[in-house]
Amino acid sequence: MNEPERVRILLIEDDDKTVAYLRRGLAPEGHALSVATDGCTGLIQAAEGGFDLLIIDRMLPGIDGLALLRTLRTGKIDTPALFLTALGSIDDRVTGLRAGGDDYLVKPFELAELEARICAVARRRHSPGKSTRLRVADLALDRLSGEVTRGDRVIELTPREFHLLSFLMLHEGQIVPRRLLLEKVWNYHYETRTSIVQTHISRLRDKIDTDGGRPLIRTVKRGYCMGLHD
Amino acid sequence: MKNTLKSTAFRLSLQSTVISGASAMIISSVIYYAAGSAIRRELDRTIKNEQMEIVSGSEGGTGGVAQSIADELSESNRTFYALLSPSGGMLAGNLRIPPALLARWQGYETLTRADGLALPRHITAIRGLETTLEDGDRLYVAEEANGLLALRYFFAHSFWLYLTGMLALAMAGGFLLVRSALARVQAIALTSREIMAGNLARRVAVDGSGDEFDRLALSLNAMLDQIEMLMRNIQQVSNDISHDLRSPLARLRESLEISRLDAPDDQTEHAFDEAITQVDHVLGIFSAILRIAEIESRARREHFSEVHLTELLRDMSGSFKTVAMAEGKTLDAELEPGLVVPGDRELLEQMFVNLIENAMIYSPVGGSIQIRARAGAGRVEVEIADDGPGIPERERQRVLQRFVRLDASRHREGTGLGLALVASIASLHEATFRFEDNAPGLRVVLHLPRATQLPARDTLPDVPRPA
Repeated sequence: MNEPERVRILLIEDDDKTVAYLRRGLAPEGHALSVATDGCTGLIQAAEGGFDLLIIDRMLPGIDGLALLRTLRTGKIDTPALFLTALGSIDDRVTGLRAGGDDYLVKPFELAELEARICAVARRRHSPGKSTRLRVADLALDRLSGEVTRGDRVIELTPREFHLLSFLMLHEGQIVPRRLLLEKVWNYHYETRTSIVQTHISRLRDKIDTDGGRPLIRTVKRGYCMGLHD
Repeated sequence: MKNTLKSTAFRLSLQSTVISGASAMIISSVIYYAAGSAIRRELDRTIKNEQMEIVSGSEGGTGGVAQSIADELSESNRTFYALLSPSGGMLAGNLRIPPALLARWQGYETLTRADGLALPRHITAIRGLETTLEDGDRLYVAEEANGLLALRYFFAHSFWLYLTGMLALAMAGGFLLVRSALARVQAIALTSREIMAGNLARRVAVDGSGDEFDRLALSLNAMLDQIEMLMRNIQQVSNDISHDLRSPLARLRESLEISRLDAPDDQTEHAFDEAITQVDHVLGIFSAILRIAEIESRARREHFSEVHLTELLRDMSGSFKTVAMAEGKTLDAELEPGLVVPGDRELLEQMFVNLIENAMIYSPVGGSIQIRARAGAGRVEVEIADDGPGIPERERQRVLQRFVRLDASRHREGTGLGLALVASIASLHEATFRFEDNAPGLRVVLHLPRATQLPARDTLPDVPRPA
């Protein structure tokens, strides 16, 4: 279960520095990365299929990223897609998601953040969001009934804590950057100045990582990791 | 009243009253002297003729003159005569001259009853000429001079009444005129205050009359256009810089992150982390500038929808209550249910996060933060109060500007853009907000326009809630 997923990625990006960055950055994870450097080539390759994820730059020569994805979606090609953009405006993000993008990353982004998103997409492929019961070691969470148990012990969580825990459990074994949690659990697309994520994680730990069980939430650089650790 | 006395309107009307009073007096004096001397000249000529007639028309000698006087008297009752012997005895005529008057009368004199004369009812004053004849007799010829006395009486009594009335009218009229002119100055002052309050798009009203005020308004507006353009330029420059520096900084961050992957030891890795943090800080500033620019373009208004403010704030205060507890502070929220405002949910959220985080950061350990939201007349009032150091009154306008940081916050991490962002989001939502003294601490009071009331909903919209 903790095996890193090998994801076949098509990167459609004209900027060779970004390409080099992603090649180098994603190499340790063992993903298969193909690159198209303009919109037309990207469109053809994506349409041919065989990819688990498209990473598309918003600004491309030939066909721009938005139009490219719209074309693919019209052609019933629903390979998950992640937009990259140098612009960070709200409008930009919203139109990207409306065009059929599954996620959105503003440059510069952290490799850990990209990796977390790639894994999320990969996981969706294997268990496409249907599984309502999540399990990490002896911690179980039922997304439908809202019940959380560790061993035999029932754990009461606030809605926010529940949301946070299910997100972490969905990303078991991955580094989940704090910024990603802010974005996905709080829907805050900006840095906060108070320790909002840290505080909630620590409350969550107080509730689940007690009673002598092995701790499940580990703090790593800029983020957290869910799972049994050695 | 004190204000009225100090006002330009009052001062100007007083000045004009004094000037018109003085000129009225000068003109009246001139008229008085001109009219008086004209009347006198006319009278004097008549008297002279009369006297010549008597002297030259008689056969000479006392008897002749007395005879001429008697002839003239039968013709007119407005003329008076007296012929006196050198010793003072009355020889002929109808004018009895008292001895005192007789002693001082020389040449032309204007006389009234006050001089001891017995005059007929219809005559109030006479003007007469004294001549000594060849035989030593003295001849007095006088004409009715009611006009001269009336003129003098007018200037001595009625004139003051007229003058006072006129001055009062001038004062009142002047005050009204000047005040209506100054109303436009007042309007200009109000407009400029609005502009100073941040509404740079406001302009002074021009009524097209082309008068001095219109010309003043036009040149003020031209000046404001210039200022606005300069401000825009400055903002444009900072937006451009942010935009242009983003890419190289993004590149730098990428290089740092790649290099970190190859870091030979923890120490080097830590150094890279430190550098990445610094780059992120700069990028954060640029993002905030660009975000403000995006908000100020007002394009987000097109995406306005109904935002359930109560839920948004309840949700948010829930999260921050946890943070407050961890920091040994308390956070209380008092939220009226069912508050809905038209707006951009994400931006409103960002605004409140900013304000609540400010309150959290500045309230001391053991302090408390209060969030209150309630409906008012056509608007929603939100208050966020803390018991920290507050903002001195003279700084309250300044802190809304970009990059302004008070000394108290200089040592804290931050971009100096937080409140500028809040101000721009508030203005996008046509919300007003002000800082108040929470004694101690700061209270931010926001007034948002209210959307049509919807039924209260108690569920959190975007957090899955366990059953």
